[in-house]
Amino acid sequence: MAYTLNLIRTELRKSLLFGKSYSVQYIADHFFFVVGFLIMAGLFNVATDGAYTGDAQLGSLIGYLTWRVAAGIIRGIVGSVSNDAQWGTLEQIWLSGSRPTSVILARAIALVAFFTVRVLFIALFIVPVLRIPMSFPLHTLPGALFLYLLTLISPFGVALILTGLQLVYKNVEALAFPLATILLFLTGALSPLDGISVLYPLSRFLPISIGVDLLRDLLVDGVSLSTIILQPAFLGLLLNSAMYLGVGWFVINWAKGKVLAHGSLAHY
Amino acid sequence: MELSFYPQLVSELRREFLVWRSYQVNAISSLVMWGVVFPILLVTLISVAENAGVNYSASLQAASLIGFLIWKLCTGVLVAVPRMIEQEASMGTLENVMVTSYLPFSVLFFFRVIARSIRSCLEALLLGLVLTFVFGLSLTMSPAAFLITFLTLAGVWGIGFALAGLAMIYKNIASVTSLVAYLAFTISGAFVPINSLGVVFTILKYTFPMTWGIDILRSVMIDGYDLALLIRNGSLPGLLLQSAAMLIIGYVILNSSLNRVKVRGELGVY
Repeated sequence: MAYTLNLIRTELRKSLLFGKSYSVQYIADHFFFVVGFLIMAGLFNVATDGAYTGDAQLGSLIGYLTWRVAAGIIRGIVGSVSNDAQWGTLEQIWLSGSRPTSVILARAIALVAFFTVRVLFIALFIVPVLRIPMSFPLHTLPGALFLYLLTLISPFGVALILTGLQLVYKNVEALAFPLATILLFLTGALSPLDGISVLYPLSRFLPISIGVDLLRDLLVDGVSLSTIILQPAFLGLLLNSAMYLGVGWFVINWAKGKVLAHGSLAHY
Repeated sequence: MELSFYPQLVSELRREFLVWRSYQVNAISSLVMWGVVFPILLVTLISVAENAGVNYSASLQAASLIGFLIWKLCTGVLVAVPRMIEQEASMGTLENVMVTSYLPFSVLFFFRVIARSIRSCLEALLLGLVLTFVFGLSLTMSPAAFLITFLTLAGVWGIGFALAGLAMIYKNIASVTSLVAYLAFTISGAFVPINSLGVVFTILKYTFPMTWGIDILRSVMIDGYDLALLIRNGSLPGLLLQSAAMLIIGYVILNSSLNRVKVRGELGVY
């Protein structure tokens, strides 16, 4: 336990040091995501003749921020392994005392914490500018945090799948950006996809879609956590998370065995 | 005299075709990507509208498609024009092109832009055919629609010339070009008509490229405006004037930049 905590602390420190070293890039990134949402909200407002306000904006913001963290986890984990491979430090990390999967897990936890803080700052800018009503009671926040963390398991699974493929086939990192970006539109992160024939059933199989819907139920529609847990959608979220985590775990272990057997871990 | 231009124009058209053929996988995959991106964006917009209790009707979808296609056509040219200078400069062939061609550089460059525009038109046309079929929309291209498309594109040529001039001086302006191109997607009203923005729309219409052209094209292709009506309500003369102004300003910037780098001997520097 102390070993895992130490790993997480190290990864958190690494994220913070990166943040400090590349502060301008992080500020520009922050600005980009704030402006990106404001432009989208403006377009939606125009397209709906001003009907896109209040709860609709809050629903979109919840999806947007959750997607931002999910995309950050996917790109962050795959990118870090790719960087280690390019810098030649991947072998050192994998052959050190720490188990590679534990390092990746610690990295994911650090990324969740890091990106959660970042999206809170994004929300701090967007909410007052658009005057989004934050009408949910404070006692719903622990439940929201629980659903949020459960939702982020499937992006972690996707990151494990891509990392495994990166280890074996190299240069798979290029896939992470378009994949993470397209999730914004296909998962209904910006707006619920209910009633859209092909996209809605498809979105149920994608990461974050069910979780974002449940977060909206909790924070926008005021449905209690106890009611949400009894819904079939919650079971769907558990299954979705378990499926991605299971497949990710399988792929990373397969890749680990393959690269160690072929001696291609240090290749790039 | 006119005939002496002809071989150069043909060679630029041939060059564009050869470039397309050499990088056809890239060109086709880019086209497929935009063919996928537009439906995803439109479905997102429809879902947002439905969740807000608004019907994003077929005519609004057609308006989005028209704007998207014109944006795709114009940015394809807008991004390519300064990149032509950047590429020649980085490969070290910019000086060669200027010295070896018997035509003035601005004329040669104009032919290159025409060749690129023809390619972009064909791509946009193909994309339009596929997307109108996918969404079951009906769009007809009247002579007025062709004229408005041409005038909008001509205005974009002007902006492209200005950016090409900047590329001669500052060598790499890809980030500026990309910013203008992607900003145009939202603030020109390409994806969502922004006519309801009142004074903001009026300012953008007169100052930002594509905005006015897209708006007039929607009037022609959706509301059935003809040339006579466009002349009477002042849209056509206005767009003509705007495009001419952009072309002249762009041409002046391109030529003055060319003179500046020649005087400073920076033409071959990258």
